[in-house]
Amino acid sequence: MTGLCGLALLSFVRRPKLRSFATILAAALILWGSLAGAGHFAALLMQESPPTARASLGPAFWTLAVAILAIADAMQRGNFVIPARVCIGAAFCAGFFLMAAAGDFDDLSLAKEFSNNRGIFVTELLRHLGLVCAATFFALLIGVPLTMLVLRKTAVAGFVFASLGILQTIPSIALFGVLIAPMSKLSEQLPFLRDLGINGTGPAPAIIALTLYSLLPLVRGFYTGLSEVAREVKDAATAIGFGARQMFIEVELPLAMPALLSGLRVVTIQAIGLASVAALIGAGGLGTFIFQGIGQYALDLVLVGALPVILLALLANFFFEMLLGLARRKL
Amino acid sequence: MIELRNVSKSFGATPAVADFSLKIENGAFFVLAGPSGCGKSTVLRMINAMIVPGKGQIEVDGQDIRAMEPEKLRRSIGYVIQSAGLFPHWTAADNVLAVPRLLKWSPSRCAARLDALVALLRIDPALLDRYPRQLSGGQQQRIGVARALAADPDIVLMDEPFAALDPVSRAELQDELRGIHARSGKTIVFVTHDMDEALRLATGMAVMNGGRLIQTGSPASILLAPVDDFVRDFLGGESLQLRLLDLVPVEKLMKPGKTKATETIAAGASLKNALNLMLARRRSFLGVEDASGKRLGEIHLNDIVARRDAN
Ligand SMILES: Nc1ncnc2c1ncn2[C@@H]1O[C@H](COP(=O)(O)OP(=O)(O)OP(=O)(O)O)[C@@H](O)[C@H]1O
Ligand SMILES: [Mg+2]
Repeated sequence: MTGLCGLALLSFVRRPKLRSFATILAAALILWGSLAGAGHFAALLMQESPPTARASLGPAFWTLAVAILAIADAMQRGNFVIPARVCIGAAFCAGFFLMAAAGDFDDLSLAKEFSNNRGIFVTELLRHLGLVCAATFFALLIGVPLTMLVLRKTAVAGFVFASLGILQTIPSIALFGVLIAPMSKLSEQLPFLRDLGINGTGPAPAIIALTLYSLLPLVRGFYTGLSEVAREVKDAATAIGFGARQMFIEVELPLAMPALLSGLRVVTIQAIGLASVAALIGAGGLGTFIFQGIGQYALDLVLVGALPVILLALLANFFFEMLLGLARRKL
Repeated sequence: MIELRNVSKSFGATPAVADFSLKIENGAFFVLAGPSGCGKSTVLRMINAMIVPGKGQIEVDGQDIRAMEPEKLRRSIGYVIQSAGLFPHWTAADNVLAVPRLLKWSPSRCAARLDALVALLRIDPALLDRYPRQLSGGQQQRIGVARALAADPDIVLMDEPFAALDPVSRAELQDELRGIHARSGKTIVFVTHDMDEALRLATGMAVMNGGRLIQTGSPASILLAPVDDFVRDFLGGESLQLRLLDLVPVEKLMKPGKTKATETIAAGASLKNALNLMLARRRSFLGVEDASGKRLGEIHLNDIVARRDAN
């Protein structure tokens, strides 16, 4: 409560840097405070209940979400230098893990759910990351040459963006579903694909779908970034004798870097979210817990899947923010 | 020497430069002048192969530029544009050294060259570590000129380099450039549509219109004998006569001998300066003195009005 009041009061502090810093502190207080409180009350409740009962996180839990958002926002506004950001991030995780290690959460159902699934959790987390990395990799593999093509031949740009735009509008479940039929046909016809483990269901169609979704934001981001490098600068570079390759490496790439990173950030975060849906076609990932939880009406199981997805997205965002900060420093 | 022979270039259907022939001697400060859109930049960019002419031939030092590797040719020709076009992600020093680094000069040679350029263009060394956005327009343009001169090219192309500057920085950079040209004997091809700038700098000049060459010659010869109304109007229309006065030094019209004049003017000043001073002080004649203040003679309003230019 004190933390919340503090947070409200802080909006009156004038100096932006100080305000950001204080906001982070207050939010951290709320976060740790309510987590510890939740663990404490759960333990109290559990003393009087049979061991199969579960203590779920109530609405108070959602103040946590507000606290996390406040922290993320304050970090953005405070415009802290990168080492400071890393320290703040690390301090959080450390606090969280210390509390977990001390057994503060042991009686919370979320923690119970988590420890029940600990073995598969790691596997599914890694699978989720695998899907995201593979999709991003293939999106780059196809997207970079596609960007080059669109930059060179403006005539095809309209066509490429229109097609990618249509892909983007297909609902994700539909796209995953649509891919099942042709993929199973393909693996029936070509035995070597089957040997590689490529089927109508499983990771292969999931990666294909995620890659297709990634293409539009990637190509659009890269295209705008590279085409917005000031013409006079490129002109001057040509005029004093830069060749095409030197121009790309020494002028276009560094100047477009912030835009390229922004594009990649959108793609990665989008893939982290969409990869949850991949569980529906048997590709695994954190979505497994979400859909199982929905099936069993076990909200905490849903959270075991959903919270890490959110955290991953925040982490990816943080990571790209850092890279962007580095890239922008000179511009 | 730069020579263009019957060069034409069209963008789509509209011709930008048509049947253009021009010889620019070594060591010239050659000004290309003409109204907006007449093809000045196109001519300049054809000289360093940024634009390939549709027809005709361009030679630099007797060699057809089509036979040269474009990047190599460009590294041997300095180039400055209006907005400086500095690389925003490089410091001023890195910008200046762009071409030497493309040419793979050793770091020590680069450092020595940087020092020389800083001295030559009177660049404040404190500016060297700044990024272009941290520099004023005048400072940026100074860096732009230094970058063009960095690899000591024999030819420098300048496309309205000072057009965006305030009058003070412009005059400063013009003086700097004129000094560098006089000392180095480089060939400078300079595009401008500012007639005063053209007259102040040029040793030779060409007036273009609609992609064609209308007249070439020394600034004075063009001012004295414009071939047609277009050139006359372009050179200043009604103020043409005043511009002409700018070209003639006082000593040319001075009557040598003793003088009782109370107002004096330097022998090297222009007739325009003299006329200005006469109007300001309500005099019909002025004393003329040399740099040491010794009186040489006097100059009379009547002589200015009745002069027949002998340039
Ligand atoms: N890349 C291009 N594509 C199409 N048309 C062009 C191109 N470059 C120049 N032009 C056209 O060619 C003509 C000459 O242009 P240029 O840039 O040489 O004029 P300029 O004399 O330098 O004009 P300004 O004084 O305004 O800079 C203009 O009509 C212009 O519109
Ligand atoms: Mg121009």
